Amino acid sequence: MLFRTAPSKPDFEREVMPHLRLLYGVALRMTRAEGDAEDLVQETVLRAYRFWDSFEAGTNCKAWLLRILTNSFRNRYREREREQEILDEVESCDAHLGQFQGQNPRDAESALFGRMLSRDVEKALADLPGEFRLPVILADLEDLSYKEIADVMGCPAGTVMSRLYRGRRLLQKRLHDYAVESGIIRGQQETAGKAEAQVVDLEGFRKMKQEGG
Amino acid sequence: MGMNCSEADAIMYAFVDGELSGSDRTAYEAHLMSCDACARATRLQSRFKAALRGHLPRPEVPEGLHQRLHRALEAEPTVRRQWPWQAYPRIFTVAIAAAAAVVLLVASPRRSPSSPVLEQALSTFHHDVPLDVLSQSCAAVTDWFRGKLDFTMPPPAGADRALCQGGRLVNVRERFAAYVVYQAPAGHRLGLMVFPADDDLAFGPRRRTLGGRDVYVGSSRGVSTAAYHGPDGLTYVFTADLDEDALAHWVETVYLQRR
Repeated sequence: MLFRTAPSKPDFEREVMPHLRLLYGVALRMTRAEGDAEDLVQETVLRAYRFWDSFEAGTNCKAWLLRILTNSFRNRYREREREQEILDEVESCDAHLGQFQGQNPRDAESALFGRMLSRDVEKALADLPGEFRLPVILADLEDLSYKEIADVMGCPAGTVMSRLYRGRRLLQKRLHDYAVESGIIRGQQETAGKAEAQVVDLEGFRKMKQEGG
Repeated sequence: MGMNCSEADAIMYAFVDGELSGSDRTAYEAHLMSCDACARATRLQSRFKAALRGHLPRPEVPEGLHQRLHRALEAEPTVRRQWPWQAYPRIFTVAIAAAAAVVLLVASPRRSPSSPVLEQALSTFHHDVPLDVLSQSCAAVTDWFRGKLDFTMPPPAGADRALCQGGRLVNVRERFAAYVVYQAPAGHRLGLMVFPADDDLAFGPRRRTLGGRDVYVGSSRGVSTAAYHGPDGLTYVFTADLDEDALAHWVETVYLQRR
């Protein structure tokens, strides 16, 4: 039985189905519609089946499946090419949780954590461009490690870190804006943007430390 | 020598995500001790991460999706495969790992644990991962997990005898699990990982009967472990920088206390 030429579908299913909840969760956060998420998961599973012989034994099946899922998503939904615009938004305003630290930090915190609506959080996350949204979903909602996220995104861990950094700050800026719009907290005069270059990966950090002293 | 705020900012998320270790982590923590602004920013980011998870819990897989996928696969032509290690990559990996584990066990019989879940519990404990919720009250920590897990986190039977530090969601075998850190006696730290397991996990050779239950104990790299399958379908894995007897005593009095 060991040397069969065609593996049965049950073998494949046994391997892939344990990841279904993860795949569906990520698909839903990416597409925001249950029907679309199901379609995306189906496409992912069928592709995985077709390319099953390209899956390297001993490597991370979870990351491999998520890579197929995100590629399928990109092909399907041809994301708006507005990344640069977004980047400018992040950089022009060093706005993030710091902005919640208003005159009375306790008020601001309770506004953010207590009164923030799940609907707003969902919308703010969904509005992030995919390059930033995916690492935030994988790190914060699915608890993947940087290495696993790097495997999924096919990029170095340093890139994962800088995208997480920007994605989270953008998300926080938007939630802050919602909170101001809906009057939950009072807006603040923006402080002059920090001009210094941000180093957001470990390699860069170690280098900076060495140079500094 | 000390870290400045700009350097700290660069790796704050790595700290919050539990990705810092060794001297980087020590340096970061030293900076937090001396800088209120960074300590506060770190705490906010940590809370934000937890709040995101709280607002956007993992959705349930819709009822019909399994059948739909099964049918779609049925319609697919069969994939060609020649070699068993290609056909069963995972099984072979597991088999090789098991063979290696057997070799290890034979070579050094005192080297427990061998189970991946125990390894994960140990590594979570060693890394001292940042916590999503901080509270001394175990009831508050248990409460925090409500709605974030696909099982109900039970409070310890002897809750009034235990003090907590906090809790965090972790990923065990592709599912969310609860990780609670207790303040053990004499300044020691104790971690507990709780997750549902349908199968019996092999937890190592030494078995004790505590509070009428079979508990598997072991130790590795200065940390003791204790693990058992609860009658509630949940698996409990304890790790602590205590010796085996002290950990067993704690588990028995706080967790397995007969009512």
